[in-house]
Amino acid sequence: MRFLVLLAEEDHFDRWENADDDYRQRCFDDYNAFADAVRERGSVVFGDALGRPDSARTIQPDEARTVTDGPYAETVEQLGGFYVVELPDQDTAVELARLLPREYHVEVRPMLEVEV
Amino acid sequence: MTEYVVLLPGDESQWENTSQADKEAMYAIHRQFAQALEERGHKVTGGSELAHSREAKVLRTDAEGNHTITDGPYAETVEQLTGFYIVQSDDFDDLLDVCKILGRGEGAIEVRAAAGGSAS
Repeated sequence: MRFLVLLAEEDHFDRWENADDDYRQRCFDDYNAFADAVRERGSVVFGDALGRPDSARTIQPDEARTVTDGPYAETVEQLGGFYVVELPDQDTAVELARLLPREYHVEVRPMLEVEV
Repeated sequence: MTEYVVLLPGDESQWENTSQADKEAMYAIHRQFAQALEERGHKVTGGSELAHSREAKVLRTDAEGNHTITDGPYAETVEQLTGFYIVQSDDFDDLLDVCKILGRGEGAIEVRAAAGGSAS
């Protein structure tokens, strides 16, 4: 099964920019530990960090398809990055998500893999 | 090429009550979207429809390292993420233009650049 793993944190982008090298290294070590653990039981299909919310463009659900700056939802937690992982089940995915940096809210959601 | 994520938020309860015929019509729009991307030099590298947000689990960790796992998404918003695409493109504006094809069926569509480092 495939799962989308979302990494969210309050003030994520400002915190990351102001973080010292030790903090960043710990995060990178956590990402590597997570990816290694996933590969032992499945695979990392994709993973990446995202640009700041204000770099997003949103196409609004109106007749004119207006394009606005910013994300579709202003939330306290900012989406900072995500993974797509292939693993046997959701419990395993949640268990391995514990290896990700402890500062983040980590959402693990099944993908439907619909053929369109 | 820059990697972009195309996020598709929407009203999940409405989709759950959509007939199979109407879902097929929606998937046809997605096929048109995929075809237009290919014709205009953008490359889809990933994506999927997502399960209902009630099936999501969220892991939170406190300062002492204790984990809690809750049901549901991390953010309670009116519009939940229902699916996404990952698209490689050199033309953000044209990508936004192609995304308007999806707009006939989807609600708001967010397009955001990724940092470019795949973990795979």
